Amino acid sequence: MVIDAKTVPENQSIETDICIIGAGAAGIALAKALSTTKHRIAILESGSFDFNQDTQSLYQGKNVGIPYFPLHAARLRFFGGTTNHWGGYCDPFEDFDFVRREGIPHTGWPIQKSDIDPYYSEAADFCRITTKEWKNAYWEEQDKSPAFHFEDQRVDNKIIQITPSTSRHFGSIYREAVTAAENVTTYLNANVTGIVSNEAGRQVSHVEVATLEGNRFTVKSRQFILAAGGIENPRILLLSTKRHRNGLGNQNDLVGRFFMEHPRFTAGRFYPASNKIKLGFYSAHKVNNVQIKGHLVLARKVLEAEQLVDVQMKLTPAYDQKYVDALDAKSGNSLVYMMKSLSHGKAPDEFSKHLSRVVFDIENLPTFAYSKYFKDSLPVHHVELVTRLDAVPNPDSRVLLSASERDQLGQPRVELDWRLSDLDRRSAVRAAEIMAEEFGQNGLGRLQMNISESDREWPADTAGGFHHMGTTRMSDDPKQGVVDKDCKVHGIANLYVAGSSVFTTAGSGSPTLTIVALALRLADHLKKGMASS
Amino acid sequence: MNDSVIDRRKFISNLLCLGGIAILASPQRSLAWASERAGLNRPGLPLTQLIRQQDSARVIGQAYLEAVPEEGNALLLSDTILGSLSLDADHAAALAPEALHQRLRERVREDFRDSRTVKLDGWILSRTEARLMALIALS
Ligand SMILES: Cc1cc2nc3c(=O)[nH]c(=O)nc-3n(C[C@H](O)[C@H](O)[C@H](O)COP(=O)(O)OP(=O)(O)OC[C@H]3O[C@@H](n4cnc5c(N)ncnc54)[C@H](O)[C@@H]3O)c2cc1C
Repeated sequence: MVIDAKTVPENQSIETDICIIGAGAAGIALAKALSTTKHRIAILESGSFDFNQDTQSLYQGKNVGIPYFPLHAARLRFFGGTTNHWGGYCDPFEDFDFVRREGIPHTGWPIQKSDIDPYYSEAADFCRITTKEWKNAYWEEQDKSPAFHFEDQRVDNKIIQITPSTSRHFGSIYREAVTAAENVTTYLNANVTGIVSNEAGRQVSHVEVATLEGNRFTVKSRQFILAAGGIENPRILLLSTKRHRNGLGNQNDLVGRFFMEHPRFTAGRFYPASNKIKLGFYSAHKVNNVQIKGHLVLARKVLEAEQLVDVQMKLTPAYDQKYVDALDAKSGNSLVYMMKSLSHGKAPDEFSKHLSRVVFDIENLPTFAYSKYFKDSLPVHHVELVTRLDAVPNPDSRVLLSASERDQLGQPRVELDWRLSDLDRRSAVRAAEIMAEEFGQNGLGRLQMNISESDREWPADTAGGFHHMGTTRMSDDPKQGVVDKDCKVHGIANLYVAGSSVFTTAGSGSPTLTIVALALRLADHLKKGMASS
Repeated sequence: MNDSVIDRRKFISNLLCLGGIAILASPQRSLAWASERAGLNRPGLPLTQLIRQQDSARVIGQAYLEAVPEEGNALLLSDTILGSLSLDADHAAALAPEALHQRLRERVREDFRDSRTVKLDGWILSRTEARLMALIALS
């Protein structure tokens, strides 16, 4: 059932068994898994089924740390959440991601990979990943594009799979399954503005909800799950000050801290010895009808020996300008468009405009055709070494409430103070140095680095991957983390958190597959707990 | 960034981009090389002839000499390079250019394997190839 929260009478109190705040990857995975139970489930989703500018602007905030994407552009606030425009890159975390790492502070999850493993397969189904095979050896064997192999094995290959773009938007894919479930009620346009505990402060009694139209109501539930994304999860906890002056779950000043991204930047430029170098393995391509992409990663033995964070390197070829310009040629693109239309038995729109482009720029067509159809074998000028780090958990990197800015509901907006550490820089530098040595040793070419340990700034193209992690991190110790190994907020009996805000470390994989696996695990935990109570 | 750094970057990228690992001249250069054998009394000459793009190499070589001024002596550099190939000048002269080229190529790879590298304007180069270019800069 779907209810527009704008129609809920002012001050009404709704009762349910499980209340899920947010319908993104985590919230939808939870709702779908719990829809098979007899429990009443209420989803409180801030947006509707479509994008709405007013709702989206509730996500505005300020970046006060390392320059970052505008916060209202780095996530989406409607049913399906940020999966309404994610990239679909999926890869599970590795054993190594969960362990405490010598020389890297604040590492070590309270769970192991084996605790999540049983859920990865179902999570892959949920993310519409068709092959559950993640081993490089498998893909390399199937793949016609060769991967690099370096003798001393300081650098390995890593494969990611990409969810097909046609089945990527969880809001559309799972809308029917979620809204048709008899025990699930989805409240749209329902903004949770605070979570309120009982007087003792150890149990959540209800959440407060407001719509942009002005009506406010409450939802009481036996269990609550906060699944509003890695920046909004801590914001909502910090805003919940009715019984906890510093915010719910924030007795140890940890909520919002340890914000992590997967920083990426061009760490260097590799000049191949031959401009015929084959890099197809390292670009998105299909193997057995599955879209995959290869990366180079520092081998685990190197990470351990040199105490570095995980580093992934993407090889982005830059072709001679002649071919780059040719690919942009209007004449060629018009010709392709006209041919496509005609092959579908359709007259091309704006036929004369396209025809005149072709006629007046006919001399560029051969280079266009060559560039387009032999893209994989175009002469490579150089290769950008785009580096991505599993950044060090850093308590000073954090999400805060703004002291001055408020949203339309009158609540403090967020500020993001994203920070990276010297160890992150050292890891990137060492990765580039090691790559240079491997390229040189194997006669592949030379590398020019764009980063050095003495730099004070990060490279100008430093950005994140839109991955918001760590802000309600998981730890057995309430002094080190906000949630325990079951994703339950320390000290509160019935409040759970879902999403990458619970990640203790950023991990070597993209977050969403693991977000879904953890959500499915949490659903199991709740099912068991509620059955026994 | 000052002009000389930009120039140097351009030179290096031209050099490495066009030649890649082949910054050491290809064996076809041997004819030209052979005719210059007579110049062996000039330190380093057979070595420097192995580099194809001498102008670009000179720029990198200069950068190396600025970074390691104590090696700014052609005889010393020549001996050091030949020493790293387990050769002396006489043996080097007796070697066919292809063979010398091959030895250098292997040595460069070993440099990378053993992290005997230098960083010049961000470029990571084998120490041997950087010395070779320094030799050109001095010649
Ligand atoms: C451009 C882009 C590309 C990406 N590519 C990838 C990729 O390739 N691979 C990958 O793994 N990840 C990728 N991501 C990240 C991925 O989208 C997120 O990891 C994932 O969506 C997080 O799921 P979530 O459920 O925790 O949060 P979200 O999907 O953000 O969902 C949160 C939900 O909570 C709702 N909400 C927020 N506040 C409130 C409130 N106060 N009350 C009620 N509801 C609320 C929101 O409306 C939203 O529906 C990408 C992100 C972006 C922006």
